[in-house]
Amino acid sequence: MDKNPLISRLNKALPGAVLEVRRFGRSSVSSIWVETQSIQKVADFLINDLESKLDWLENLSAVEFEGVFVLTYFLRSTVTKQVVAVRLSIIPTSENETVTLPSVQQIWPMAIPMQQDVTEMFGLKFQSSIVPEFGRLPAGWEGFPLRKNYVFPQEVMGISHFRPFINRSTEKKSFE
Amino acid sequence: MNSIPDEPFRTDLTTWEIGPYHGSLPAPMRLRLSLDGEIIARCQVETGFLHRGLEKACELHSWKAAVSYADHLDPESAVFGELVLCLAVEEIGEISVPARAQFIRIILSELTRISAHLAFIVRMAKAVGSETVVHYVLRDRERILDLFELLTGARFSINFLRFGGVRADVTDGFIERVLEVCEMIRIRMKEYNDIFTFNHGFLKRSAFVGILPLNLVRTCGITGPNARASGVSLDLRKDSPYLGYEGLEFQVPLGLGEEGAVGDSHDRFLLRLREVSQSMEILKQITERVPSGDFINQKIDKEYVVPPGEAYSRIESSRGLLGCHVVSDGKLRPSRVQFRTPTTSHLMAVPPLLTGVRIEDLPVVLASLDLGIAEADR
Repeated sequence: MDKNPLISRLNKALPGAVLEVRRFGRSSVSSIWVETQSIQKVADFLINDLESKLDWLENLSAVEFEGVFVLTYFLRSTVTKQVVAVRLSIIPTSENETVTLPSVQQIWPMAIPMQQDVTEMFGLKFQSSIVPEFGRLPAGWEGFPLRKNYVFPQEVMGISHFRPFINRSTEKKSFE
Repeated sequence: MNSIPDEPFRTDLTTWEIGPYHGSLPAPMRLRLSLDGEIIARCQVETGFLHRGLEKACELHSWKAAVSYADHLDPESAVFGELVLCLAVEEIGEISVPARAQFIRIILSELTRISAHLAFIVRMAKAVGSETVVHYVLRDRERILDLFELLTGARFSINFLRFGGVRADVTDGFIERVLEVCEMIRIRMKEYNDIFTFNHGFLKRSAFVGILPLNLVRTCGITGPNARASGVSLDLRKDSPYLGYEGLEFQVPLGLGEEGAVGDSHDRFLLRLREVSQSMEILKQITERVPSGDFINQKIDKEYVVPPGEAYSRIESSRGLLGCHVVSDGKLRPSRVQFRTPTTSHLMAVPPLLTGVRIEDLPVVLASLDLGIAEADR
């Protein structure tokens, strides 16, 4: 049986959804790794669980580790003050492929701008009904800038984006 | 003779597009408004005009350079971006920070908070056309920027914090000048109240205008002074203390709706004035206790490497909860630096908040939300 009562309740309500429980970094916060497709059900459980009542999605962060995307949902309860990090991983089958995963915006509405950010910057799409019209990148921008394999465009909107390499030791510009 | 036909009375909605650069906007952004007469019926917000790729830039440069980029997160409150990054990196690397450096960080944080709130007063005064207050407050804010210059050599973008401390020790006479400026602002606050805060013209423009209801605060995840003005008592300096705030005595003001309703534009204004007073209280306490000793415990150069690991730090910036998720793979550059900025939530609340507002109140409502577009666009 898990020592953390929240994990015990989660395992009981959604068997198989929790893959692993670790400590988040060096902090005392629990990091709950869940199965990707069950994130909606996990979110629904966490917000309705009377003892934890994790009603606030404080942050949603995406990270790429060697081709694997890891999403971290930093959750907090405004009632019990409990803090939890829920994590899931996504492995795209090919480079520059857009991956679709369940959205949590119906459960935590504040997820809308955060999910949009992840979509624009990492190419991870969320199955959601509300898609904001505007984002941080100009319309028609190609590629996902925060992916590790992202190649900077040489020209943007007719403006050359070429940056000469400056050799600091000689302070002489090299255009190679 | 033919009579001129009457112009048909149009009752459909008209569309206005404001921005990205406009006097009524606090920063580059575009508003698409549908107006029913003078009432805003629908609002769309477009941002991204200040996107600089800060998070990507952090991944492409050394750990030392990441502090400079974090500094650019919000030019008005540069120290908060630096601080949240340093706290995360110090947690990953288990880097201890000398007590003197912690005190210097608190002094800088509170001076920055006062400076940002004074800039907020300026924007509110501009929104209602009170030029006198704009000049008075900017004059006083200069004194705080003088203090930044004295300590760091820069008035904006101070680039002063380092992993494990701060870049330099406080200069001679700095502490005395901090107290002088606090006293000066304390006197000036009375002046602001006399000529502006409770001026009937300002009250008419801001009281009962742009009321931010509690359910919208919860839905959008709004934090900071905007949430506190609506009655949400969350201040990380009290709830999850960092830097040593737990040893300081100060209050967390909440919106009371004295001149209008709880969470209206005037309440948000009043709350920030009270926060300035609390910041001065913190500064008075902290300046009496600054210990002697080192201001940094390690040398940070371009070759500096943070051990593998990750951390998520959170601080109370002048606009609300500022978070930073840092991941290190043990190499020369950060693997990921992600910022959670308060303005992202505030922007989400703009369309519902502006719906039903009269068009002449638009600048006041936007200014009262204290939007930091630079930090939202990153």
